Order: sequence, then structure tokens, then C-alpha cells
Amino acid sequence: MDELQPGPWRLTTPEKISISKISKRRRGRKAERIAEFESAAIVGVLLGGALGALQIQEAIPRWSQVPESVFVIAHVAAVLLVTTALTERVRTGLLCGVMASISQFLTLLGFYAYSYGIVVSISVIPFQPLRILTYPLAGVIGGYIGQRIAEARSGRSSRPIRRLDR
Amino acid sequence: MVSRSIRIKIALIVLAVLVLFTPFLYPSFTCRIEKEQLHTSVGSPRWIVGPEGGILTMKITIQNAARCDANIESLQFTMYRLINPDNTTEDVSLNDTQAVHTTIPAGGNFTVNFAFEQPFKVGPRAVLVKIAIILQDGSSLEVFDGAIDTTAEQKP
Repeated sequence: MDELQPGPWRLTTPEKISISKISKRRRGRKAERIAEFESAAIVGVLLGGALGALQIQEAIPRWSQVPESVFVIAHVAAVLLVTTALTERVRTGLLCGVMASISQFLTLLGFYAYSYGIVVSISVIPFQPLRILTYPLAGVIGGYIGQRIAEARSGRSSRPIRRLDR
Repeated sequence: MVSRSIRIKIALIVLAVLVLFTPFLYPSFTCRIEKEQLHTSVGSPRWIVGPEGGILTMKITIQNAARCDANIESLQFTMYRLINPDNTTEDVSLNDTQAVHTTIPAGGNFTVNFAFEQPFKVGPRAVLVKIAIILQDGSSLEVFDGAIDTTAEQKP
């Protein structure tokens, strides 16, 4: 190790950050996160409603020859793209996917209950798990991609910096 | 000036909308069944005589020569002329529809027993009929237009 050279030292005072400033910053970040979660939930609800409305169209005879898997793939891809565009975290992506699943399910349930009665609407439930399970997963992937895009754009990393001095 | 991130977001959302509507274009890209590809034949015409008259029954065989499956909803049977035993003819307009709800695989065939529900007091010697197939997508294909000899089964 190099020895310290004697000489004139200029002492500088560290930047003073008041506690109120820190707590303000924290509160600001918290509010930002809450806003992110809220907007992700709203996007999820709207997306699910739109997907539910499109799923109702699938029952029209003209589209009956289209395999259901094609619709499922298209819907999952759409959830993935929308979450990539509008979320910047895995958690918000997951929330968006979950809300889309719930919203689509409720839209369908409401439509069938209104049109054919509650018994028919309940009988639709067993045919929904495939979509319900895939949307949150698509949301997670979309959120992750959105996060990576945001990181690349801002040049920051959301990963915690590991302390090497421990 | 729109920032790059906004442009990416808009592009992703537009792409999502396009992806969502792609399945609705699917029928235009897939194989379409033409009426010439559904070979239809009528066999075993038979009269079932009851108290109200005779009911004409027959076997309708449909062979799917298309390259894709045929999803059949129902058969529409239209009788437009009767040829009586004394060779006089009578123009009529009698319709009957029978639900089928089946899928005939490409290259496969399907036979259905068909009974024309309206009874005849005097059974005609032959009938001229049109048979149309209603597919699940709502389209209708007229696959048969000809005479059915209703006494063919009784002949040796």
C-alpha cells in the first residue's frame, strides 16, 4: 500500500442531506410506485374487458372454424405486448396480467349471465383456466422486457448494487 | 416531437391490436370447401306408412373430397316436383331441415338417415329435390339437384 504523503490537507465538509429531504424522496418514490401499480391495474382491467369482448365474438358461426388455440395465442401475445409497452417492472406486469384475467373472466361471466342466465354462465367457468393461467405469465414476461427496455433507455440498473466491502 | 420511448410504446400497442385481430382473418387464409367437393348421393329410398300417410325416408351419403374438414350444421331438403304413378307431375315447394352437427374429415364420408317429415296420402313415383348443406360458418352449399325414384327399393 502506498503511504500517505504528508502535506497540506484541504478538508471538505460532506454534503448535508436533511432527514426530511430523505423522507420526502422516499415518499415520492412510494407515491411513484403506487401510481405505477394503479396504472398497471387499470390497464389490466381495460385489456381484460377488451379481450372478453373479443372472446364473445368467437362464438359467431363465421369464426367457429378458427381453432381456439389461435385465439388463445393471439390474446396471450397481445397481453405480452401491452405489458411490455406499459409496464416497467415484473411486479406491475404480473398485476396487469392478473387483472386482465380477472376482468376478462368477469366480462364473459356478465355477458353469459345477462344473455343466457346464471346457470349457463357458470358452466362456462371450467373452459377458462387456460387463459386465466397464461395472462399473468405473459404479464411477468412483458414486465421483465419492459424493465429491460427502460434500463437500456436510461442506462440505469434496477438491480441492487452489491457491496464488495463486506 | 415524440420521444423514442413513446414511439416504441405506440408501436407495441399497435402490434398488439393487429395480433388480436389476426385470428378473425384466419378463415380467409384457410381452405374453403366448394360444393363440387362434397359428393352427395341418395340411396335406399323407402316409404314408412302410418295412419296419416307415407313418409319418405332415405340414406344421404356425403363424401368430402376437399383438403379440409367439413363442419356440417344441417341438411336442407327442398322437394320441388312430384311425379305421380300415372306420370302426371305436380309442382310443390316442400322444405325440411335436419340438424346434423358433424365434422366430415378431409377424404372421409358420412351417411345420415333422412326422413321427410311431411306425410303423403298418395306416394309419388319419383320426386325432384334439392339438397343443401349448411356449414357451421353459416354458408350454404347446394350439393344435390335431381330425381329420387321412390320405388327403387321395391324393385327387384
